[in-house]
Amino acid sequence: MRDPSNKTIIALLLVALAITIAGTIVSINKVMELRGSYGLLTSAATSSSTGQTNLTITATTSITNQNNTINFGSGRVNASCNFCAMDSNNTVTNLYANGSNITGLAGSQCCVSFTPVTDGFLIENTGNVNISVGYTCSGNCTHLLFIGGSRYPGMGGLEIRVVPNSIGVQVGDSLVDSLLSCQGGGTYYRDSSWNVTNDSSYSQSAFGGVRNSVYTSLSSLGHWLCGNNTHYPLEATNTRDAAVVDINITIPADAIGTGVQSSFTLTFNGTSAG
Amino acid sequence: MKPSHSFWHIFLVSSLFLVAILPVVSALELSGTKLSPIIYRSGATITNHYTISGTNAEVDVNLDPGPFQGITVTEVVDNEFDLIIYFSPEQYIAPGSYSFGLSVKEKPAAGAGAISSLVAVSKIFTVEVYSYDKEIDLSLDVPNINAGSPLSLQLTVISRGYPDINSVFGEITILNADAVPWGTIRTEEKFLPGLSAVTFTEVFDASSLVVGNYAAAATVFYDGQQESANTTFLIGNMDILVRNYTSTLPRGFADFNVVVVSNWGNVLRNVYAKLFIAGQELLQTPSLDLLPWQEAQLQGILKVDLVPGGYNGTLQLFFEGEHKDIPIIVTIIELPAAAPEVQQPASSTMVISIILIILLLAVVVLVYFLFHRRHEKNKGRSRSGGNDDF
Repeated sequence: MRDPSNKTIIALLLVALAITIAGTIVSINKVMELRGSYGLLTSAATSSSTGQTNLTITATTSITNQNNTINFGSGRVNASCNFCAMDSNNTVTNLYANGSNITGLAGSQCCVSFTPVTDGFLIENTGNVNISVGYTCSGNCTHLLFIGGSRYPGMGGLEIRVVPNSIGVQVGDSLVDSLLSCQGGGTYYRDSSWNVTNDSSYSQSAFGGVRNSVYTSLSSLGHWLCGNNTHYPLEATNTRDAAVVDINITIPADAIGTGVQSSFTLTFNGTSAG
Repeated sequence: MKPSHSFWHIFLVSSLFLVAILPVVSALELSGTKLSPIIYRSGATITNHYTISGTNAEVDVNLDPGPFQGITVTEVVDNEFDLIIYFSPEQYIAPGSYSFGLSVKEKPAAGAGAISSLVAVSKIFTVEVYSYDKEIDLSLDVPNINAGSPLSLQLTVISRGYPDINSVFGEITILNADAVPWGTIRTEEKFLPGLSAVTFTEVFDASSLVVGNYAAAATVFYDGQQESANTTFLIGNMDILVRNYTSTLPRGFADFNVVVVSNWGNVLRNVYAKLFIAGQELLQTPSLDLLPWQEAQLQGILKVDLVPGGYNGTLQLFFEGEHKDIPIIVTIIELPAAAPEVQQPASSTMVISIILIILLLAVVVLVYFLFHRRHEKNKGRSRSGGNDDF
């Protein structure tokens, strides 16, 4: 087959150019029609009639977890330590055999070979209504089942906390919050902050519970974290709709390694008025 | 190896890296027209349509019908279903406010390890059942206040019956922590139409009340009947309380933490702490703002050169230009030299990462040589006039 001549190529180019120009004109006309003008057309028939438009805005209850797994990997406690503790905000606490307790600066001397975790569960209200947030737990939800070993009385073992994402600033929030979240519940303080509690009573303005950024023991029964089943303080507004749920674990030196990965599952529930 | 194979391997390796790095997102949405509050009418049926979206996981739809026997959901088809509310005339529901719930929950995936999570969404529906008799609900709101501030009391009376109430009024008594009455306020008398509400707002002179916990008890009288409600509240002052602090410090560099709680009903700005041990200032923490009644942690790093032993110290707390001294006891200890760490085999994650990096580099080198060879081949062809079949 012979190579096409220059004339043929020029002819094809002209055809292509013509198609492009025609397409552009048609497109512009369509756009002008959309704007209610008929641009290049010289005449057009129009008609008008009245109509009724029904619009129903549905209430969307939606919750998004931008990071749905926390995995500290596997490791052991250094021989010079009684315990090591670490959380999902990459904070490590070394609890030495002599009773001293050093957090952060000393690095991970007591936790050996574990995987540093830098992100907690990032919970965001992605719907268009205010919600409350709680969690339930299934699997090895206690320190005894998840890690085991012996602790001092009152020592944290398997703990949870909530940090508003305007403070936690974890990446993944559809718009990183600039204001404190869980503030929309009214005058009671418990409605004005993330608050880990099982207290469902709203008859008292002085109430129990653990507030923003403070660790408390994970409950196998679950907790309310923001509001409850009658108060929905987590707003849908993008500037104040998210929080980071961190997990803190303490590993005693006498915890027995089973070789099988221990696990539990938290179900985060977003509740709104129906 | 063909170039396309090389690119496939690069893609595969890159994808593995991405899977290792990117967090996995889970989301769940439940959309439908808002119904609450639902007014109970015996024999009525309400059907509401719902759509589930945002998740690829299998989901369970659960219904908690509360006291109502006639509430059901249809089968989920293409992530859509109907909620059917039927108030059966055969079931007696006493006047009052009731609720029932609808929830959608992700089913757990097999093999989810470590600390995994699922998401669920719920809708709580409220149903108002009104009475043909005179009935009321009460709500008593008393906020925490700062000492010396007036105490605002809000008593709301909601009629739950169709008949009007000709006369309604309340008496509110303030009691201290030992249940000793401090004073009583009587509201004005009002007419309350059926199914409507009235709020009495009263101000109690709390200037003589000292800082502490208190209770408020209200009794509402309406056309010869009465109902009661109570609540508790706190009178605070501009103060910061210490909940906990690091009492043992190793020599050398160490973290010091102090957990404080605001006892004030306004924001306390510029809150920080200074730590003095044996007359030496060892630390000043960064400052923060405390929300009303908020608990927070002040922390900082200090260097301790003191001889091991017990010391009397002072924690100086600063807030809003004020300060207070808290005497504390701190124990300084000598840390033993850390046990020599036995060299551990690299973790599985690190081994996998190194293998993947080596594989990626190998693929890049292979691709380079492949293209280089083809380039040389083309040059050879052009030198031999394109007749070289080699």
